[in-house]
Amino acid sequence: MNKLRWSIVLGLFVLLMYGNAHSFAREISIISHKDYPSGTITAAKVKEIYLGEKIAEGTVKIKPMEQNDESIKKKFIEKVMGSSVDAYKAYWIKKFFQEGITPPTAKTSSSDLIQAITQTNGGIGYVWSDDVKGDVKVLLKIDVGN
Amino acid sequence: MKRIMCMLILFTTVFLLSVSSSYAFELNGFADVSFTASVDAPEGSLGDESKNGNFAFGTLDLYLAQSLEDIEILAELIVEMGDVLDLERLTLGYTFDDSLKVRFGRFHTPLGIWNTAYHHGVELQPTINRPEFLNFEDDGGILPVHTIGLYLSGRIRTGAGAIEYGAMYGNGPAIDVSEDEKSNVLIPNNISDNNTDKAVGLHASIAPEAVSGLKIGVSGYLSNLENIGLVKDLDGDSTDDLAFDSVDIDQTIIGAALSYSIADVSLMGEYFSIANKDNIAPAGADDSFTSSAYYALLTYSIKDKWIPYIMYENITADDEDPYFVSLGTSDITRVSGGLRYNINYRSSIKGEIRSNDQEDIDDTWTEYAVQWALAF
Repeated sequence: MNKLRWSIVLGLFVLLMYGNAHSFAREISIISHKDYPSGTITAAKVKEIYLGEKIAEGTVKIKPMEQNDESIKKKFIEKVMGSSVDAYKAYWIKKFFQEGITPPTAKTSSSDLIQAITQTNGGIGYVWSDDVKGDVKVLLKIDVGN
Repeated sequence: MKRIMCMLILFTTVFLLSVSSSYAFELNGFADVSFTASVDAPEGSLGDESKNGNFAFGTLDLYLAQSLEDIEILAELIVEMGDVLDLERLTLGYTFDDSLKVRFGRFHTPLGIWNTAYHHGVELQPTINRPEFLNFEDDGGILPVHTIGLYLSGRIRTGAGAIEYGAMYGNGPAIDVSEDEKSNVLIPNNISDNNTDKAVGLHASIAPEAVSGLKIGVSGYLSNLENIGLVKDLDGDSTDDLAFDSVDIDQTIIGAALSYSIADVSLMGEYFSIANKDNIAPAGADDSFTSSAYYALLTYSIKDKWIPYIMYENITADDEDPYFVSLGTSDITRVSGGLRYNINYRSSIKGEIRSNDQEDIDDTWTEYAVQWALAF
């Protein structure tokens, strides 16, 4: 009986922890201008875009934007780009100098970024999924953990 | 100095005007300072000028790049060696899609990896100096590292991996008298071509999907090269060192390049074969010459902060080739070992020891160098 009681307590504890972990896990949405030529995108392509390797989708010039908000920027760079923030910045110094490809335009907040994307053909960016609103297309959602 | 001030004022004006206009040009740049000493460099060797131990400011490099209604402009201006001012790059371009970007202007010749990846801006390059054979034309370089003309480039994704290419068509280089009128240098023919034959070049590389971190490339370059002026007394002893009065060469450069990164270790190497055909060789004389140049560089990154490295490089130039004879090129083998410390993502300090073996000098000699570089 004691064993059963302990099993129930342990089971409830595990369920509680699992629920908590999920309630804190955050999700980044990759959003684009509503006329972006594709309805979905892979994480690998997002990486190529933010490395300046993919600069057009068909004939539409991609205009990547990023956030100045350090919390989402750090998560995006670490989890999606697979890089440290310093290495990412150093990469763009090199890329800009070597090829003249301008780095993603920085926006001060999610709402600024969403507004810019709605006004920019080929615009693409990232926001917390909770912040998605307005006339933009959600191309991909990425779980970036706690 | 007046020229430098004028150009700096021009750049500053462009920058300030842009702040108030709808297009915000961002002026970026690189700067470096260094100390080089060569306590045992023999007289006449490449290390002779550093035998006293020299502090020097290296290059102040200012550049801007912007897209104006899809027209891309890139301009790069450098001040080097205290008073030499160069418009290094100036291109106008248009990107059609990932696979085709067109640029007109002065650009880095698509030869191998180093010449396009680590041109100026020494903060970017792993070592203090470029490999000797990749020196700039006005610094005793033996390859045409700049071209003025048309440049096509792009990136194509295939099942086997991403293919990148750069193809050019432009003014061929020429040999001319250096600014101090004591030697001959390559010049890229910035504003006019001294013959009707244009240079063509191609570099293509693939990063195979099957081997992560590997990139393999090949380059080819063809040009006809003639001299404009020619110094015949290269050692200043009032006797001619050149047995010819002019240079007319068909040049073919073939290159192979490889870079491979696995975990914290990176290996990079390039090999060039330079074949010159002398169009004005005396009857019966040898008119075809082949020389080679290569380097291999190994780096190891410790937490992206400390990066020890070692580079081996070699130039083997044909002694009879009028191209190398007129440029005064010496065969050289150099081994450089160093340590780079990244202060942050914008700045680094490098310390380096170089062992040099120059063919026309009896002794080997050693150079010590420290460099602090910054991107801003």
